[in-house]
Amino acid sequence: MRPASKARSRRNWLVIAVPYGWLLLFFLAPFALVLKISLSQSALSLPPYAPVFDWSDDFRAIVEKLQALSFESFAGFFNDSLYVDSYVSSVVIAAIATLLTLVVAYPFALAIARSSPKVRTILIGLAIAPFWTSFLIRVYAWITILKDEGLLNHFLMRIGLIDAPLGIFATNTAIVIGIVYSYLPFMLLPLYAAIEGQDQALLEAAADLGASPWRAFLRITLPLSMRGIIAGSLLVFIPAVGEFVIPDLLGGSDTLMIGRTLWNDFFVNRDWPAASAAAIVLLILLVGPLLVYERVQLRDEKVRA
Amino acid sequence: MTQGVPLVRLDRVTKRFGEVSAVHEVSLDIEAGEIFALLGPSGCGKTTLMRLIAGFEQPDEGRVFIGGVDMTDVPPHKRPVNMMFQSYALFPHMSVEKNIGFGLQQEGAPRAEITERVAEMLRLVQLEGLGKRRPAQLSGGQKQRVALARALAKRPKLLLLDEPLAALDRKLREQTQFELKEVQRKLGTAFVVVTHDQEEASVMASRIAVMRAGKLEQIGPPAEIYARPASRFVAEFIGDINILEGDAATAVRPERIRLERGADSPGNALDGIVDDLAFRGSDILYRVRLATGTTLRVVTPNSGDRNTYRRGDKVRVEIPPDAHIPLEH
Amino acid sequence: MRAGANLARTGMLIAGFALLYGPILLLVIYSFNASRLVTVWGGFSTRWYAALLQDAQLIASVRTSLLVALFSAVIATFNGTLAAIALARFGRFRTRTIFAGAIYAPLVMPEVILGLSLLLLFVALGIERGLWTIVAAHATFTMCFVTVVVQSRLAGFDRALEEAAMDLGAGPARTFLTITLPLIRPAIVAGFLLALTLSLDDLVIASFTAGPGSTTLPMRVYSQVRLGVSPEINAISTLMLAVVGIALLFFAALSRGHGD
Repeated sequence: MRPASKARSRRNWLVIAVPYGWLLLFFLAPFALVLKISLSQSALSLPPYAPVFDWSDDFRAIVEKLQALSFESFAGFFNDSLYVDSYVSSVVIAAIATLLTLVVAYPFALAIARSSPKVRTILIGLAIAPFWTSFLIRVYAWITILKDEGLLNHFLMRIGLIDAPLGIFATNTAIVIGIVYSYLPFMLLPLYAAIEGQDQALLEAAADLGASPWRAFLRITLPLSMRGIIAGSLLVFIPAVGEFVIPDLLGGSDTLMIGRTLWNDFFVNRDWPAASAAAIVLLILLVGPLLVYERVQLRDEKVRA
Repeated sequence: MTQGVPLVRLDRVTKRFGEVSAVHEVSLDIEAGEIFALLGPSGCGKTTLMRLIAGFEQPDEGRVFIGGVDMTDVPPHKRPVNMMFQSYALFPHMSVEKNIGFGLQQEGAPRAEITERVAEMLRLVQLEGLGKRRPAQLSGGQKQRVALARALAKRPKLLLLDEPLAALDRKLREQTQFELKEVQRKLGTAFVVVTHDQEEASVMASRIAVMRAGKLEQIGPPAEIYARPASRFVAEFIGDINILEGDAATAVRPERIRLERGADSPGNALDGIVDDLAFRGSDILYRVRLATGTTLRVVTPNSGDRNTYRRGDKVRVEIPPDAHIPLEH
Repeated sequence: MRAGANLARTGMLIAGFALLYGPILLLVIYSFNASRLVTVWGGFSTRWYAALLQDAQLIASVRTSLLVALFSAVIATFNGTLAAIALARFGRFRTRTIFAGAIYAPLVMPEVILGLSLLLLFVALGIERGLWTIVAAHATFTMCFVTVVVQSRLAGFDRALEEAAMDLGAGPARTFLTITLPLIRPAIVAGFLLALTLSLDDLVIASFTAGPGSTTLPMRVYSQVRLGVSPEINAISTLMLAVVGIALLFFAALSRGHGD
């Protein structure tokens, strides 16, 4: 290597070292720990698990311990119908909510993107603004609305549309509503970016060639915004699967979502290995979508460069 | 600098990007005070070659000497060479004055000297009174002048100009070409101009290096390259040309071919028909289809109504023997 | 035809914004309700706001939240900006994929996982949980947002500007300070504000990494929300919304003034 490029590479490492070290310590190392603890047995102590590996272990001790690893937590995970159910229902609820978010956000994003350029930036700013306000408060607002004695039921009964409360609160429907509402900005922004970047002349060309507006939308606008749809859907789906606040506040006592199960295992049951196993399983569940998301990100990065 | 040492010497310089050699074993000398053009189609390596001189790229092989000193491993900020960027790269957050004074400020020059030099530079590029403006408040032509002033403020021995006129419209371009030459004459700075425009290279440069696929095809004064292109590529890239395939391929410039009405005349003349013509102001371009099937481009000066042919006219083509340029490949 | 499309667009915009802002607006309105019941309007009152001022625990949690947000956002902005420079400028370096992966992953990673893993780290290292563990946790998960914002600014930035500075004699550090930094400053400020907001907003990660004496505002609000809807929470919420709203208006005005 030439001296000049050697100096440059030394300088580069100086810049990278701090954030890299930080991520190694606070992001990558903790994952190794989660894996380690998910493989240990729960114990009634503090911390409430019997460690598998010690920092003092020599190599032979590690091999011996590897042979005696406890997959109890994982076995428990798959034997216990509670876990399997929460695993499945998390994915189902997140998928339905993601689809609904897309259905709500697309025409909204389209309406914003098709406004005059000056109005457009203000409108998208306004649409994103709620994202800056407290997530907790936005979820809480829906309790007030959806409760049996809440505003929605009160209003519907007042105008005589229903006789008894709808009973939406503390159900999976309420969770879906909560997710759609809370994650709307995450869907809106990539959709808007994908639609707004399109050349309007494309639609004029399609119309000129005899396509109706609806056909032009289906054949031009929709396919060209596919990247936005994929990015937005992943940005909603991935965190929604592991969501805790929404199922906890809007769901019922029988609602099973994996984020909440993990929370309860940890804070209520104090079964750390089980919580860790739940985290690992959740992570495995999300590896596919995460990889797709990474790929979209890295491709964007390449396009920009 | 001692006599006889070239200002820049590239010694068998090679630069690869991955598998591709952007520049392949290029050796050339640039003398003090000359305008040297690096000419070639996009992707031929001319920009990489210039960046190797500036220090933004390090060669994989070969050495770069500036003023007789090996500068191969010297970073750009320590090279006695300045550059005018294609995008001008004016710092948007600084005034015109601050932009022009930036280089001197890096040297640690005293404030009074900076102020004086900036004023001098503004005079040189005829932008007096615009020193306080931001780049965003300037026209394209004005930005180009600021970029030139900034690159010249440190009085470099060599100025590199990357497609200096590409962002200007046609009319402004010609005017600016002569202004750049004027500035160059006044300061005596050597210019290396990177361009894909053979006309621009011919107007400005005392010597042209034609590049193709990372290699040098030919170096020489514009007239020599035009009259005696070293290869078929150079012949086709510089100016208009007819290639005559035969036992040995030869090339003929369109303006060297003479047209006559279809009458008998001795010599190496051929019969043909005017296929199409274009009136181009100072001259007329004819497409003449010969009986052999070959189509020739012929340019004749526009001398009023005399000697103008129409489409379908029978003509006889005459090529003087010395107009033939032998081609090797 | 055109008028129909315009009508549909306007209708969609109204419906969309009603959905986005309706629930928030209801919350604000009912925070001024004199009655304790949600559905009954008992007249205008600010009594719930007065009650908040008496709540010492609440005020302590606001203080904790602000401290955590400030410290963590500073660290995240520093780390995130350096990471963005590395990703945008250093091309392909060894372990770049791991680096990029570790940066982008927290962007979408469920908070429960991040919270749990960080807690296990602090336990394993024997660090007592408190304000500083929340700061470290928040600095970790907000860093990637800073990186994304700054990196996109760096990507849309003419590299020739930096080269021009070097060509004129500025070394790498000088070039960064006089050219790069001033030009990416808006992105760094935006990233800092984003990190600040995310930290102030976070419940899950703070819950895992907080100690007994370090309750943040969202943790405090959450423990009250669990007990049911109350006008006091409406009042806290309204105050939090007001702070964010004023900040947003302020920065909108600032960026508009900057654009001219």
